[in-house]
Amino acid sequence: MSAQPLIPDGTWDLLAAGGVTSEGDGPAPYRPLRAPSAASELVARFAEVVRELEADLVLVWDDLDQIVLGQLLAAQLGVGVARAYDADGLVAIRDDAPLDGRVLLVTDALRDPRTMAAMRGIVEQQGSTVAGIAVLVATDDLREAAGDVPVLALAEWGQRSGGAG
Amino acid sequence: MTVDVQLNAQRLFDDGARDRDERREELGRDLVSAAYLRGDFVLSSGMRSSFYFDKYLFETKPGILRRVSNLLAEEIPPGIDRIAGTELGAVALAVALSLEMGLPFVIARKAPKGYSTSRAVEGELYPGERVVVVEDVISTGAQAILAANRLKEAGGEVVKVVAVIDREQGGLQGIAAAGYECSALFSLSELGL
Repeated sequence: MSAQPLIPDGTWDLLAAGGVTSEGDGPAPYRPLRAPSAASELVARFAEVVRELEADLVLVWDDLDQIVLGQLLAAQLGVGVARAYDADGLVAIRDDAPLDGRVLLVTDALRDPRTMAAMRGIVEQQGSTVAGIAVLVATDDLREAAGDVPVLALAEWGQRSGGAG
Repeated sequence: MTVDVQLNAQRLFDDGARDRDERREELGRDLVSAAYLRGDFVLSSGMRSSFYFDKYLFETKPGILRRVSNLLAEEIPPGIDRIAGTELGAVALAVALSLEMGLPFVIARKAPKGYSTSRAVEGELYPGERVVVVEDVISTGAQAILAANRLKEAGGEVVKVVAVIDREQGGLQGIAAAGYECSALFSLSELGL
C-alpha cells in the first residue's frame, strides 16, 4: 500500500497551477483557489489514488486551502468532511460531519508534524479508525511521521522527472 | 469553588501588603481550583493527557485576574512604554496589567486578518517603544516568539516576555534562545500538576 504509484503525466503541471513546484526545500502550500479547474482535475486523480483506503470521512486541518482540498476530495469519494483545529492547546473538531468510521487524514503536504499527530490523536480518542493519510506531495518527513499509518500520495517530493509532466 | 475564589480575591484585595510569596502561593492554589480539569484530552501536539489547564477559566474571573496582574506587574522592568497581549487569552491579561500599571497596550494577532485594516499589531505602537509581551500559558514558546517578532517588525523594542504559567515544554528556553528575556509566575510543577 505504501508503494508509490506511477505519477500520471501532467500532474506536476496541475500542482504548479496551484503554486506547488518541484523547486525549493519542500513543497509550497497548494492553493486550489488559484486554478479551480486544475484543482478539480488534480483532485479527480488524487481520488483514484486514495479510493482504495475506503474512507468514510475526510478530516482536514481548519485552514482555507486544506478545507477546499478536502471538500473536493470528499465530493469525489462521496463522503463528508470534518475539520480539526487548535483550540488553545487542545485539538477540537468543528461541528461538521461527526468523526465516525474510517477517517482519512488529508493534506497537501506535511509542514508541521504536530498537525498530523493532532488529527490522528483526535480520531483515535473518538474511537474511530485512521484509514490513512492522503497527501498531494509526500515527503520523507511525512512518511516518518506517519509511522504505521498508510500514506498514499499523488506525487513524491524530489521525483518530478520520470513520467510527471 | 467559585465562592472560595471570590472570597480569597476580596481578602487579598483588602490586604495588598501581604508577603509576595504568600500571595503567590495562594494565587497558585486558586488558579488550580479555577482552571484544572481532569479527563481525556488530545493536546494540539497530538499527545493524550489526563488533565488540561483551561486558561479561560481563570482569565475570566476578575478576582484572579486582579491578583495575576498585581504579581505580573512586579515582573515588568522599569521604563516600559507599552504592554502587548497575544490574542486571544492574553488580551484579558494585557487589559488587567494595563489598568494595574497605567500603561497602554496593544494586541498582537496570531495572523493578520486579511481584511479590514489587516494589522498584525492592533492599537498604537510607535517606533522605539519599549514593550513587554504578556502571555497566559507558555508551551513551546512559539506563539510568544511570533508575537515578539511581529512587535519588532512593527518598530517596538521587545524588552521581556512575561507569562502566568510555564508548561515546562522548553518554552522559556526557546524564548530566551530567540533573544528575549522571559519569566513565568508559575510552572506546572510548582502548581503541583
